[in-house]
Amino acid sequence: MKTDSFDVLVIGGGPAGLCACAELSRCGIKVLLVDEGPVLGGQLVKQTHKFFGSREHYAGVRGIEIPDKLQEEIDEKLITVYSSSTVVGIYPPNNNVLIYRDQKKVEEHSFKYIIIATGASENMILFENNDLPGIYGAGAVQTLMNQYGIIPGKNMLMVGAGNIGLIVSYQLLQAGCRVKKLIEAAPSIGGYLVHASKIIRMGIPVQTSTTILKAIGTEKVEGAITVKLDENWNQIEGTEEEIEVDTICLSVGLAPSYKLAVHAGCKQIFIRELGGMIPWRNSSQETSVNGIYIAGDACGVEEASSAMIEGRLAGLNIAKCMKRLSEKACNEKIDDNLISLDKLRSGPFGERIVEGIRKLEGKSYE
Amino acid sequence: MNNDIRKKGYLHYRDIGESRFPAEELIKEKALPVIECIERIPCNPCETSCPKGAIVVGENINDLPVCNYSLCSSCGICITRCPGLAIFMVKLTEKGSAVISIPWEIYPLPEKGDRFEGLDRLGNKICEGEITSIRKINHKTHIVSGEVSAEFYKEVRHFKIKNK
Amino acid sequence: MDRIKNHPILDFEKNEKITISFEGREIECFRGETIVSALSVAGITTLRENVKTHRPQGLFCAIGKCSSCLMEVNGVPNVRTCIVLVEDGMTVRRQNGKGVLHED
Repeated sequence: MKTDSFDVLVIGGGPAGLCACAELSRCGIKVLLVDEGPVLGGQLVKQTHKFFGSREHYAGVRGIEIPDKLQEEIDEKLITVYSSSTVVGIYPPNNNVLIYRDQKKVEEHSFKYIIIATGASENMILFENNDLPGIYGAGAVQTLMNQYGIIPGKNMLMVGAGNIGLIVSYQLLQAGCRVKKLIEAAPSIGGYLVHASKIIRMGIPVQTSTTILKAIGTEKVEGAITVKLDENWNQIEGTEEEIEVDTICLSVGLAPSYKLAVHAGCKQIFIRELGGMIPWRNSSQETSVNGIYIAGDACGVEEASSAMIEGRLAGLNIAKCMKRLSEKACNEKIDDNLISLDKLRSGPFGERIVEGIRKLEGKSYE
Repeated sequence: MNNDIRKKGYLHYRDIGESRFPAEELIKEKALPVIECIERIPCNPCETSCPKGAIVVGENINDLPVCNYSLCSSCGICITRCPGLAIFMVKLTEKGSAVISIPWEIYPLPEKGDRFEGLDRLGNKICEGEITSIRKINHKTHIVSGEVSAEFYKEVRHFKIKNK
Repeated sequence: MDRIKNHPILDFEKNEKITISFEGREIECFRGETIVSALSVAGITTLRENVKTHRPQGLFCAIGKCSSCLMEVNGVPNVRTCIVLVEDGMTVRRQNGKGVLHED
């Protein structure tokens, strides 16, 4: 067992994890940050669009520029980063942690406080041949084109008109790809109208009440068959349409990645509005296991802007427990962040999240 | 929000509402923004970036922006700062044409004099026109202005550049 | 797949050119990119075979979460090639089934 000089372990260096590190290091707390990717920033590193929100949420700033801004907030002397490394287990009661460092050797540490900020993973939907090479999650398409500069395909079918499907369609146009069609099973688009408007006026056809029936091809995607749905989501016979594409991009939602929380024994709860099964947490972002906190998409799928605030809240609440900042100062900062979170969630698109949080607060595992 | 709009996913100018277009007398005088933001989303860079304080969202950042045209200096900063790329600028000229300025984030950047097909909000070609100016912006949302016949100023929202 | 030549927002810096080997074939790529991105540019989209159905599998999530891209890298099986960066002289193979751990 390694005797540790770190006060807190933060798992995941995306928007939530980096913001947690920022708040912790501001309070003089030593942090070990472990991230699986080769660079910090999580999914921000491929968000070429400008963020919504207001100034405090980096509104008007492109996502790709935010990781640097967040890292400027972090005191380098107080943070140790293990990138390309994976936390493979958390063992209570002492919160012993196994880290697969550099994907090469296993290290064991123990921490009084842990923040899980592991994000979310892409959903898959059922259709014939859905495992063919050439069918990517929308995030993978973004990684290929925006992080590594590779054109993911020439002719695309985009499935799903939530914000991610709409934004990635626009980014595909920017990368020089052709989006032949965007289909959405629901009767209306799910994302912001402004995102839909900008791709429709550039000529991408959007078809609602339409789903994918089958991918065509044997070794890789050569086409797809789509079908229209009636108001009860049943396929309408005779509306099948074949479309020639080399790539199918699925943007059909995200599911929280919280396996480590389960491993640590955190109680789970099913809340549809927050993405399905999630670890229970209180308003301080603390799970049912003492000392283990969770923030960002890992505890409910939302926007990066709210993940950042949740990360800050987790960090500040740990600083409060460690008494590294006066209770008054901590509470003030916590309140500011809670107000900022409310601002983001107060519109019609926040209603679902607010409802989910209400359900969460109705249950206690403390 | 009208459910039909979400179903089709784009806006017709009627959806935006006449009240969101500056009056024709005003855009004969100077170029003014048309803010095509009719859905409550948490966002206010149009307000915070306007150097004249002409655009107001207010305390609740989900509220819709309102522009006080008399304060507007036609600088176009709002066009480049709107994350939804939903602000356009229009000006009617004396010779019966309209100059429409749109946010531009596509390669290549057009050149002055390029001919284009004017596309409406549905991506349909409705007229032809010519690029009159390009303003390159550091943060890479540039402003491209194109001239079309005045009758299309409420409709044209993208320029499909013709091959030279 | 091709590399993006011109992008309105992004500049892609090209690092030093290096070579990896895929099933004995030499592939040129750039330091700083992942194994999967190098393979994609070389036109290799089938990364493994499904253990049960033996159907071809390609990239899906690209962030190390879905296991669709597990390959044998330098003799080590089950490497998530979507988050591991290329190194000069690296050998990459499609693995057999669940992969075999070679003894040193």
